[in-house]
Amino acid sequence: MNASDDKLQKALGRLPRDIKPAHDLWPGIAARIARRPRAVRSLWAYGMAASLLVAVVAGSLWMGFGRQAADSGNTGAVASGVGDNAYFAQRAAFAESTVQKATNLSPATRAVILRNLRIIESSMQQIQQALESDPNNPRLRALLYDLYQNESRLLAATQQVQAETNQRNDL
Amino acid sequence: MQTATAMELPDSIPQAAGDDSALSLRAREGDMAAFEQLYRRYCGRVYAVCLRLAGNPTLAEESTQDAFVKAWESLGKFRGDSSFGTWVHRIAVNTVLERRRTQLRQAAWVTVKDDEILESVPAGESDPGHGLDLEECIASLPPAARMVFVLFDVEGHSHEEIAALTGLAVGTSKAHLHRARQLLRARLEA
Repeated sequence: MNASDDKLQKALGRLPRDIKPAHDLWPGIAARIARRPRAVRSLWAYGMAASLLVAVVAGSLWMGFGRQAADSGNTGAVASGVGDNAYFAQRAAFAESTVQKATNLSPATRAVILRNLRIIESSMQQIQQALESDPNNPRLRALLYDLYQNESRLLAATQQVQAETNQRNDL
Repeated sequence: MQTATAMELPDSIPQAAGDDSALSLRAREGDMAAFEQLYRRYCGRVYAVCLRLAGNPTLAEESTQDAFVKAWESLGKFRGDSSFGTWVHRIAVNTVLERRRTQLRQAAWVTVKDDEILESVPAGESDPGHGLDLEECIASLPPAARMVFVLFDVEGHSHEEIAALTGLAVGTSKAHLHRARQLLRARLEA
């Protein structure tokens, strides 16, 4: 082995096994996998109508906040409008009540759904905080919108399961 | 995205509880918090291999995300014969290689002979200069040579395994490795 081989081998031996990415990639991964909650996917036939309805409602809320911000002439208000704790607390309470009403799901499944919703809500709050200092960041806005949709889909699917069970019971 | 670096784990997520198999079992049941713990445990290792194979932080981040999403979607098939870390690492390697194959197809480079790819970036073309560490030198290698070098010298695969993973002929893999080592020695000596 000559000197340059030796140098290469030594450098190889010093390579770290782990390198941390510059950004936390988890929020993006969580958003993508929340679109299709695998464990409950087989149980739930996604109700397109219900999903669409909730998505439209969430979208309208989002757009409403955007318009409110534009009307006030302060783009930063988009972030602060939906970013206060009371708003998120209300959303969390609504989500929790929706999941708890899905009584045909086992308590363990409801707990998993709630945990996933809390992760999504936590991501939303963090992005919202980030938007307060960078309100026009299009990637942040897109990510936040995506999270709203994911939350809506998850809630819609939960409601759909309950509705299907009720229908079966009525037959 | 600057802001993401400031993100912290949500309070509701228990820290480092349970071993890999317990966590992967919980993740299979749909527990995203358990899967996040597995992600936190292995993201450094997965990102490292993606970065070295892709030679680009943006592509490496995308591939890391893709790998964990694929892992989540395939958890039902994970039998625990190997550790979760080994399994997700393999998914990551395949993800980067698949991405490259797609790029090559899209660029219609499939018609280019291996030897031409081998020679596509001459040794001095992207001379990184003095004081560069091995990571930077690896990143500056021609793509095919970089992949073979990383798979063989860093990840410990054989040429036969690399051939199966990449679709290259064994002889071509050896040629790429020879070329990569030559370039790296020259750059480390510079």
